[in-house]
Amino acid sequence: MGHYQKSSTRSLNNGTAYLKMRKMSLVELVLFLFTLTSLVGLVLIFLFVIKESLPIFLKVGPLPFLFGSIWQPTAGKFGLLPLLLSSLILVAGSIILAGPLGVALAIFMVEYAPSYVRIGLKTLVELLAGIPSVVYGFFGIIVIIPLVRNVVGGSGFGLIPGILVLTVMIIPTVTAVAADAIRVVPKENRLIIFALGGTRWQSVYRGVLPAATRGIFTGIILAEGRAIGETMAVLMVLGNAPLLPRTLNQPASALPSQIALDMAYASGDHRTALFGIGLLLLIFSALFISLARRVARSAA
Amino acid sequence: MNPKIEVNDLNLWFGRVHILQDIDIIIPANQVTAVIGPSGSGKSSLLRCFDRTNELITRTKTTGHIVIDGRDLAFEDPLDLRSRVGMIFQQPASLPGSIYENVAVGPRLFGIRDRRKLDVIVEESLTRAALFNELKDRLKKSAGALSGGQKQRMAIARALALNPEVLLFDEATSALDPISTQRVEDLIDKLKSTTTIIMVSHNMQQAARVSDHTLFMNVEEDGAARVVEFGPTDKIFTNPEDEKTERYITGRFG
Ligand SMILES: Nc1ncnc2c1ncn2[C@@H]1O[C@H](COP(=O)(O)OP(=O)(O)OP(=O)(O)O)[C@@H](O)[C@H]1O
Ligand SMILES: [Mg+2]
Repeated sequence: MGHYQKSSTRSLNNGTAYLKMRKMSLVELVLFLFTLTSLVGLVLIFLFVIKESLPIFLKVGPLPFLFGSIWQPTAGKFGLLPLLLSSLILVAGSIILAGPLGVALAIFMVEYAPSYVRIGLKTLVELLAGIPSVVYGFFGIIVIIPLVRNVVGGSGFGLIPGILVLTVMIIPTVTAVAADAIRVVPKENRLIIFALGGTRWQSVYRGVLPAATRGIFTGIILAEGRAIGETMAVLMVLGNAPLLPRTLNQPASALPSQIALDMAYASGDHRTALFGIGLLLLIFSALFISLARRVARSAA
Repeated sequence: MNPKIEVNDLNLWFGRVHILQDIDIIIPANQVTAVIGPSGSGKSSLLRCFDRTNELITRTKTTGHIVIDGRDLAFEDPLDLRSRVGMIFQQPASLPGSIYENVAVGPRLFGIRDRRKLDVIVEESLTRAALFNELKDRLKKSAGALSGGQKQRMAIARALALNPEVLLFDEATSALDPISTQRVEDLIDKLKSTTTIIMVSHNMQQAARVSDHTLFMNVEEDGAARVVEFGPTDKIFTNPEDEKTERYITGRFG
């Protein structure tokens, strides 16, 4: 009995009471300052982008700015619809492809592959996630664009290679998050199905996937966040014509790549309009992250 | 006493490790057989031989025969066999989804989709598991909210939904409170009339209380597990033949 009491008070001291009663140590102070700095930095970025983009919203008006169908800064026309639609098509297209593929890869990795294959695939996924996006752009130009040119015709540049390059880029994100979600499902979920006479696929489909749904969707949403902000690779394959997308096989321009293309020389209203695009992207990624949070937190 | 399962000269290896050695037993039909023995004495491995789930672990090898109702397991379809041999695990676990879906999952695996058929099966299985009245108003609610004891009885209902001939309990009450344990024991006593039950237990009182026959297993010096003694529970617990059995059941073992 005595031993039990002693160990229980000790564990209390190591837990919450410890933090409350002791003064902050040096390490904790440094960590706290770092946290504070990044928080302040984030708020400042937001405020700065709002301040810089405010004139364009006041001058053109928020609705004509967001939904105007002509982007022609030299003629004083600042309608974002062509860029906005292209970006949405890129995100939607790449998710439709990368979602199922990434999840299938995660299922195969965790539930089917023998351990040496699993380790190889895991390394490959991590490697793919770490490749700079310019390299994906090269891949797009060298491999995908000639392919598109041969199959559907035209220059090859445009939304189709954009979607395909983004798909390859975000599969690692989907796969990594989905694989983690699948891996933490208790082994009982599989055993229950096996013990009833289920096949391996049934153990995945009935025992594992329902328990991993939230994690899988979190991965897909995070990947969408990455896709909408992706600049370089997309810029290299889109053909960069800010036209309203009428077919998938036409040159286009997306929100982030337009900023990268114009920022070096833009001035005046054009410059503030680019900051307006930046604000839009910030809001999109905030939305995706809060959505991912909500999905991750919502009850099963 | 009708034999239900005959085990002849069963040996089991995981990789190169000899796990079970020369198991020769006859499990009587419609009775409760308790399997006792120290940790690592192959009790769970033996149970998994009866529904062939050892095969899901890579690199296992079995020799010898297990015959249920005159049919050698080696020649049966393992999925079909598992539907006829239910297993209840130690950890009370539920699948995501409702109580109803948790019980209906077995029949669904075998292609039963008709709602009315499933309704009947779910109600019957929960009734047999003495759980229907307790849960009938919340069948569509999440099973995750059930208590450990309720989850364990739901697991029994889930197994019963496939109408198994044999039920295997692997320390199914060791994570439960005394009242839930009592309920499961009562249930085992009731299910005897329709199924053959094999239960692993670390609780000697429970084995003595619930079972008709007791199998004592032990690991020998060479690392493989063997049957030390198998007989009527009364005899094993009052007048064991082997001195190791006596030491184990009186808690003076190793
Ligand atoms: N998946 C596995 N791979 C390799 N060896 C295993 C595996 N599972 C069990 N073993 C080994 O088989 C032997 C018997 O284990 P088993 O789980 O059958 O014992 P048990 O009597 O059920 O023990 P406990 O009372 O602790 O549950 C042990 O030596 C164990 O280490
Ligand atoms: Mg065990």
